[in-house]
Amino acid sequence: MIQITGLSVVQTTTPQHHKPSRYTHLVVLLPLCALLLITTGCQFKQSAFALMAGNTGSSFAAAAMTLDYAHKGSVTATYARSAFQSYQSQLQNVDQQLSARAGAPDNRTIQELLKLYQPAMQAINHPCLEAACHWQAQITALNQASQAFLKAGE
Amino acid sequence: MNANNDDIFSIADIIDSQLESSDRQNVGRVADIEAEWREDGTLVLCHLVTGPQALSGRIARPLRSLAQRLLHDRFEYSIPLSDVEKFGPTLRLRRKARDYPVGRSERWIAEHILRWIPGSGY
Amino acid sequence: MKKWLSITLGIVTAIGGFLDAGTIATSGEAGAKFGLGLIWAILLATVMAILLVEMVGRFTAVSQKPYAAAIREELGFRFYLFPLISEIIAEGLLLTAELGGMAIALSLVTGLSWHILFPVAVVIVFLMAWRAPFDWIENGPAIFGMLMLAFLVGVFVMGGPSQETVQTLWKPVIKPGELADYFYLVAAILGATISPYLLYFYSSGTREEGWSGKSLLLNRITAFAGMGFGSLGSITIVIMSAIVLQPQNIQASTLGEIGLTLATPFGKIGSLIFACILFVTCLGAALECVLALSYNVAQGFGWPWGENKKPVEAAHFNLILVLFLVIALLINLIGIEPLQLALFASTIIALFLPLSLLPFLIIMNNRQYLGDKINKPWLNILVLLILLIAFVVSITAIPLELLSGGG
Repeated sequence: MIQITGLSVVQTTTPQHHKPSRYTHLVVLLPLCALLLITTGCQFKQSAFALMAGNTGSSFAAAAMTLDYAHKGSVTATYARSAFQSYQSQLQNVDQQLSARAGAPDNRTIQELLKLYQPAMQAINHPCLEAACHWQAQITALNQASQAFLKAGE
Repeated sequence: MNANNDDIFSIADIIDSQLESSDRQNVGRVADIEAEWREDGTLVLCHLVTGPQALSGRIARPLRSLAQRLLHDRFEYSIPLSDVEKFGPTLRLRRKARDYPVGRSERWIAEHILRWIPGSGY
Repeated sequence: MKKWLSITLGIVTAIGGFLDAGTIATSGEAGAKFGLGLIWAILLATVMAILLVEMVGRFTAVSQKPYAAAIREELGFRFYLFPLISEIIAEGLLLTAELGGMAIALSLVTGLSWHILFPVAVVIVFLMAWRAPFDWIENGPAIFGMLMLAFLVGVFVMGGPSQETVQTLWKPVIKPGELADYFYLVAAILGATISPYLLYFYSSGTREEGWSGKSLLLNRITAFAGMGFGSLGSITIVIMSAIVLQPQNIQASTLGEIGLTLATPFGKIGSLIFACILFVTCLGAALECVLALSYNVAQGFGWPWGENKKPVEAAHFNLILVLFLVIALLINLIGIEPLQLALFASTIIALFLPLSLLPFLIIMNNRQYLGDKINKPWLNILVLLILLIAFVVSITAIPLELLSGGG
């Protein structure tokens, strides 16, 4: 875990007229930090696979919550329908791109993920917004997929 | 010139200034100026120039001749300096907006484009 | 009394300029990913926004010149083109994002696809910008923008953030590999808040309202109240997002997810309120964006301008407005999600900030325009520092984001 204190950044804005040398230091230091960050960029950024897996897991979690809320009466059915359209466009073609992403694990792990992806995607494409269908089963599928993808993205 | 003697006007003050007609309409900005050599050897400012050609010349000199080839001076217009009633950040002109072809593009847009859009007030 | 009512100018500037699709997106994502760990960036941006709005209001009230006109007069035509071009690029993207935000808000209420609703949003903005007097543009979004307070009430209903979350306020928890994300969001927050279009709009707004050198106190209060209100809205979104979405591992990568934060305490009504907030803030921002550019060009070229004139009386001004909306329609055809576009546009704005604001700083120190009301030295230094931070953060964050193909 890396921890940064936000406060130290805020303090740099306190004006100090009499010591312009302070600022010249800052002017030199900040671009240097920037350069350092850019050149060593890879360490500050997740792999493309981890990023995609994380986003997918997050979208499945959001879908599970939305579906749950729709049946608890916390959001209207139209709200849920519209939200699912967005999830759909977020999640489209993840199955085809996943293995090609940099940093992807071995084929077996991918296959296991995709096994959970299929039923969850079924729920994304056709969410049960009426009481009659098996919406609980959909929520379960979404949650399982969400957890697996989030774990893969860590 | 109506400029007071104790006011010093530099070219930088005049270029890019707002042109305002006597009926308080904005009619454009000064893009360039024209001066002429008098026989006694003095350089006298005589015209304010407006228009896309003069403006593109301000960005880079070659652009001016390019713009001239495209536009054939159609939108260039110069206002005699004697037409300026008041100097300052805004140059007030003696005549009304419709007497100056400077605002021609304004009227052209209103007549040829905006009138077809409902509610334009044309 | 009438004069004091024009405090709504500040509120509407805040609602469009401060709170918009970009702010809702960045705040929602910031809270969901980093808890309260990015609130410092919002506070920094708020300070900057207050300073800039106060400055531009003071400038226009004292000199009776709108900001864009002053850039051209003071720095010349060639220099005027730099802020103009950077604004056209950044605001073209941003306007498209705002219209997309409106379309998504309409979609959340109707259930129709936002792609279909995008042209509807364009028509609504066009109608308001085309014929509505300035008063309407000011007061409409300002009144409905008060709904933003729902987030504040939500924080109390939810019992506030947990002990653990509160600690992220000064000790952000950044997992390995998330540092780039963190920087990207800092840049986006700064860019979403300190948008130059806010200055063009506010400056022209004070002219439309007829402020004078006597309105300086009013100007100061308006800047504080308006931007303070915006900041409150933004911060409460972060908190709600940290309370509701972060524990569920939801990253708020679509706007509908952020609405769940209001549905949790308030149920169906909460989700509807969110749709209203999204619609109003994006409407306000889209109007400001489109008007700011029209004001800018018309004033820079010395043509007639003003919302209280008939379109044919300010022909260039209104033509630009129409063209800009058409351009947004075209950009939308590329098909980027509004939220991603808003984030991207905001970081681009942060990158351009020095370009668009340095001329402003020069003008604010010109006695010809301002007399003894020029900037105090500490104000210049403070603004320069914040500009520097915004620039460094965005020049760091954008390559990283592009390299990884994320965004």
